[in-house]
Amino acid sequence: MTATMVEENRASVAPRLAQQVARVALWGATALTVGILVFIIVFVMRRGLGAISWSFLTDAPQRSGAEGGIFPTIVSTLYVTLAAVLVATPLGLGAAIYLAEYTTEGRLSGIIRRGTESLAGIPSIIFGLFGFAFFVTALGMGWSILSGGLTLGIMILPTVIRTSEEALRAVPREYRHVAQSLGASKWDAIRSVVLPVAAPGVVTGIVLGIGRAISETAAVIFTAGVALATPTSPFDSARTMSVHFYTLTMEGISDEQAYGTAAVLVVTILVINVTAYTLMRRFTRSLR
Amino acid sequence: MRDRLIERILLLAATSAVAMLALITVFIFREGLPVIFDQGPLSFVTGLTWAPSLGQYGVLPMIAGSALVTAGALVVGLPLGLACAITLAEMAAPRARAVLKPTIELLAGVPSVVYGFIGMEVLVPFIRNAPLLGGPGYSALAASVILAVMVLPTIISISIDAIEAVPRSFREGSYALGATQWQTITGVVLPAARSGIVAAVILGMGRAVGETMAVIMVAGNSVQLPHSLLDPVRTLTANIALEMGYASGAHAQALFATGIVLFVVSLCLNEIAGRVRGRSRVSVVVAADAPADAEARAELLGDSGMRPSRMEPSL
Amino acid sequence: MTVQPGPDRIVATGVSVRYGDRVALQRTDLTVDAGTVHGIIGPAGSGKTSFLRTLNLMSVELDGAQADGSICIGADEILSDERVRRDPASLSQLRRRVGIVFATPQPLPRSIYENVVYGPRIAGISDRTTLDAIVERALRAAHMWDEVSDRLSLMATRLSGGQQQRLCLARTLATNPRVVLLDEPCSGLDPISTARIEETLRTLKSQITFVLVTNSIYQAERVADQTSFFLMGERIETAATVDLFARPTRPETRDYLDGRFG
Repeated sequence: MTATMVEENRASVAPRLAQQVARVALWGATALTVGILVFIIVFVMRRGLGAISWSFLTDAPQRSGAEGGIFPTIVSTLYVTLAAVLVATPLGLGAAIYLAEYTTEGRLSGIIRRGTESLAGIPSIIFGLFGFAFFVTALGMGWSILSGGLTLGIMILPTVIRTSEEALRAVPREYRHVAQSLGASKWDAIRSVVLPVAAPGVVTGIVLGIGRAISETAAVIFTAGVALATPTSPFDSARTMSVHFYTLTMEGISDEQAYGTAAVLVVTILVINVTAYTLMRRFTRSLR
Repeated sequence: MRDRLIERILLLAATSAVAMLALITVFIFREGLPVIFDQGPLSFVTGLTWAPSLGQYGVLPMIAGSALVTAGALVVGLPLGLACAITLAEMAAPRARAVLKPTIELLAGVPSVVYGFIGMEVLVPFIRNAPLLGGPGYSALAASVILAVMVLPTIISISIDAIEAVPRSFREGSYALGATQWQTITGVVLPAARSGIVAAVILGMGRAVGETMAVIMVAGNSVQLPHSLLDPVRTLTANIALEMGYASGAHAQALFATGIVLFVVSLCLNEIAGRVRGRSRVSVVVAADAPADAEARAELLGDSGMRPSRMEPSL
Repeated sequence: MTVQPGPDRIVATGVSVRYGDRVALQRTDLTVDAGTVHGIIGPAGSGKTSFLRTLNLMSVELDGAQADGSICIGADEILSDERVRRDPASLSQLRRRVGIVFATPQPLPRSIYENVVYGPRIAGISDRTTLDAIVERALRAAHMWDEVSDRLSLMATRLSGGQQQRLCLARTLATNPRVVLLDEPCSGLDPISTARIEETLRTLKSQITFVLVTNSIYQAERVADQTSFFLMGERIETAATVDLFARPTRPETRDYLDGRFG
């Protein structure tokens, strides 16, 4: 919009003026984008923070969530996310180590890389469909923490692979040579030298994956289910915070409770993202 | 012996993503294909009627809905995202950038249900009551605007990568000829970064097409071919999510069939973006091959030949 | 800890090293007597580093080089014997037997102590007293003990460049090698650290065979018993260091010593 205006002006007006206009327009767009983020956070917090209290976090919901707290959904979110991390971390880290350390760029790594990118591009609702068809129905796990966690684990796998691979590649090659020159086998070198150095980067990937898992709704609603009780086994159906929030809003159960849940969600996500960012920064700095 | 075993295990892990992709493909197609063949592939894709109770499954309205909201999202999101990318990559001081970039990336972390909620609470009433707009508020327009914000992080971060990959010598050449910064950006930098930016747009499209919850919450979800942006629409994703809870038998299969359409579209967009982006990487690497650009190239290739002696003690 | 096993003699016969199409070293023969310091000099690209890194197969395993010919370390053939190349265990053994110090100091991002015990730990030594003894012996041998004995937990990366390089030498000595390869170990170091490293070579050569690639003909003169001159992937000549510098037999050597190759 503004860009085209500026474009037209360019022929008739002196380039310096165009430069000034473009500058203002570009910074304006950036300010608008940041403004949107601030608006989202303020909008949720303004009404949401008031709804949050100790009992909101620790009580069970009453009347389908119209009253009471959200304790079971917090527990469910933790369990489902934990299951997802337990699936994605070994697979993702293993894949990253293989890609970064054991293979030269060739056909095999090309296939693996493209598969990973494709997996990352699949809409979450497809993961939901798949999880429902495979884990819930075909494997007979039902709507459960296990089904939801496995589905989410596959969904965040590409994030973990990509971030971990980048972290491993950032470790100076010389470290591997030093280790191997001292009698370490390739795996010894990776295990004892490369992984400890890359650890903060790898953890960043996992933390980002946790963030995605917590905010996800479409993929968990059909796999973990919507039961509002506190789950006691991996085979129990569980309603995560996101799903709970969605239900509260769409069923028009309670605005107050919805805002409160949204605030908890947003604060959690903010903390997770800031953590990931701080870790990543420390990691890149340590290698500079 | 142990090393060989470990390598095998790691290879196994490395193939997991591909294996999962295959598994997903198999299951979605196995569940969805029967309905598509029952209806005839053409009438499934071009059918206007979605009437599960009558056993009629045509997804054209949903395809149109997805296309419309995606196009709308790009019309709003692309200029905004590109402007942000240019500002951050070309204009912002390193310090401002160090704050702004992660801040904008936070937009990607906001749960889609929260976007949908804000759309319901703010955008929908606004559209309903605004002069010149009106209608029910729950509309393709509302979905487009929300999606535009949601695709911003994708467009911005990939465009920034593309812009930064343009060798410094290109800019210096332009400045040497007396061009202003804006002339340099429009005349040299953006054309050189073009394929990366195209990839950003396509990946943004992929995100918009695939988004589910936020769209359900604001799009109105009626099955009809939309005549204006103010009409309610139902997208492919919404179709699945709305009916999955109670569908069974052929109806459930029809939802998987909807999933096949979505799945194929997403994979195609991803593949195109990958190719466009791959090409841009190669062309820039070649362009940067001049010795003067060794630094830019090292950065581009992620050269990690840093001296470890400057490691901070924190590790 | 095992008893010092004694230095190995190195016999290289017809060794060629290639990186893809580029030939770095062609059909080179060289014998290094046990318990000596053997200097290798030559301009950049003369193949001296490729030769050095082939003596413990690092060029083959890590740099993607193909190497042919025969290299005997002591009584064991390491190059033409495929089993050594393919088997991680025998590679580990080889690396412990033939240590290397790189051109730039490469401390691992951990403490001084942990750097020195890295090799022994990988070899399976975990007893704390044994490790303590190894650290002291290795650091003393590298003339570093007095400087750092009271701060062994300091990050190695915070040492000065010269200290880092001596630490790397100590780390190599800690695995009880019979041969130590040094790849321009003193380029860019302060004179004191250089002197200490050279001192270490002179002291330990009764127990360890040293092969020293160096850019400095003065360094070769100071520490090497014998010196070889490499040029464009070939060994031009080898002689007792005093003789090589006083009476080079080949014109290329003379040109190099006169400073005609930079």
